[in-house]
Amino acid sequence: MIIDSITKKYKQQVVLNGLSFDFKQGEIIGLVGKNGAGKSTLMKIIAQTVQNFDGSIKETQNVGYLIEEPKLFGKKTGLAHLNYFSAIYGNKFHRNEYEELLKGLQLSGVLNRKVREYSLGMKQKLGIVISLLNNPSYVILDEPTNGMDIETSIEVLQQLKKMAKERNIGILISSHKLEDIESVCSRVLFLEDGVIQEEQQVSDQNHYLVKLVFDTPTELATFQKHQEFGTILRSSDTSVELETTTNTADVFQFVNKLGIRLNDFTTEKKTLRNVYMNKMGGAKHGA
Amino acid sequence: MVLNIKSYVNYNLSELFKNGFLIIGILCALAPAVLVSYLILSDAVAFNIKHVSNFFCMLGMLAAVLHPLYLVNRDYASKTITLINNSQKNRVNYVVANVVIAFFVSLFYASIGALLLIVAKQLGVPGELEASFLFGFLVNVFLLVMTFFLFGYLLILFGMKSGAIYTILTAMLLFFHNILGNIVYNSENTILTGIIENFPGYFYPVMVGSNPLSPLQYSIGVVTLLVLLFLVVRKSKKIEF
Repeated sequence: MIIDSITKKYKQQVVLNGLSFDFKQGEIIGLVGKNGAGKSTLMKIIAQTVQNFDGSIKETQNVGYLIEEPKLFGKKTGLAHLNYFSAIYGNKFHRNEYEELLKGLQLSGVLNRKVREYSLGMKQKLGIVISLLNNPSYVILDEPTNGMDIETSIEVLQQLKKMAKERNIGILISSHKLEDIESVCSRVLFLEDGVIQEEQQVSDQNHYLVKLVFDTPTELATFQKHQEFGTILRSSDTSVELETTTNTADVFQFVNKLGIRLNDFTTEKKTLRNVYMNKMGGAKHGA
Repeated sequence: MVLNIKSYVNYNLSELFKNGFLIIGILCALAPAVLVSYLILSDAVAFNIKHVSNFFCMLGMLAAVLHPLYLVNRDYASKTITLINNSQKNRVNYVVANVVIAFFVSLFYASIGALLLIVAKQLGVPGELEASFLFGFLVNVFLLVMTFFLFGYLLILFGMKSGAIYTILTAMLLFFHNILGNIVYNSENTILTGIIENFPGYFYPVMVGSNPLSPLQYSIGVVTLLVLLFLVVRKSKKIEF
């Protein structure tokens, strides 16, 4: 799927501003950003529930989606939903094809109950299964683990990862729970003010964010001149922050070898959360 | 994923039968007509076959309009429409599918109504039951149901609450035409009476069970239907959620 130069305005307010990215089947992409960044609008445009926008999207004919809260019939059972949303698209719901997913999501035993008796988490899970009906090539999920406890969230995300791989489905997930995004996505898009501010690959290798504070600018310059184990993110007169895959002991050893005295040293494992906080000014976000 | 019109129609029409709405609606339509037929046959009232058809249409047309509208309102009220109204093709298919349902519902009511009239006539209810009247009755029912259904659909698309829509439709089909009828009866202004007599909101409820419409009224009716259909499709293509 190629999303090309999408711009969306509501009256005079620009919600999305020339946004472009591509998205392959089998890939899971995360979409993060503050409230009002344009995530839901972008998802609605891809799902085609919003029609009036500038730009183009290729390959939108086979997209399943769950955007904002699940939209369901309170008086129908979960099973009736699955039958209905298969039938109206000319398909028959074969339960055996979805049994593993339904069991994984703990929906199997409640499918004959009316949806109005479901908790928010159960409705979310049913909404996810509906989005996966009719063999979609792509699935768009807006806050899919909303209303779920930690164990259920993990199970849902693992099932999605499995579905993406087994059925070659491209999945775009937005969430405020950055740990959720990090656990399943291979790529994360940081959206702010309607544009993609940053694209981050999620690696299996551990990365660390290291901050070194030196006594003098000369010592800092010496370190910067010789260091080869990390990417410098930012520096001031006497301090430097870098990203590295090297472990802490090696960094200390390197500094000692240079004969430089450290005034302060901090290190933390790089997570999506601290990348978000660093790059998006996410302190106000509460993610 | 393309919305399959045939599957949608089959599924939802059978749901209207299964949940009993169609049966309740047709019983509401039949009850006054059967009662009037009984009174006529008992010589309690001096009515004829057209009164039977009028009593059938009194609640029958309201029920026939509300059945297909119930499905559209259900989808919009629960917002499940967002799972269907995605591509332009699906948006048009959804409108077409619901129009087809309205057509079948109107056919169902028209057929039951025609059958009732034939049976009532056989049992001895007085009055001519010509083929032209029966044919006019079928066409009138079809036009009325489709027109008022599309009008209600348009109100849903403009975000009106279902309670308000049902109230408006009930008023239009049961009461509003009586007010207009009084104006026609009491007014000497021929332009005003001409406008009212050719206004679909008047002539459909008044004439549906009584007489075939005039050629001008049929023309106005068909144009109104096409305009409403055009507006519903146009609005459906643009609506965002």
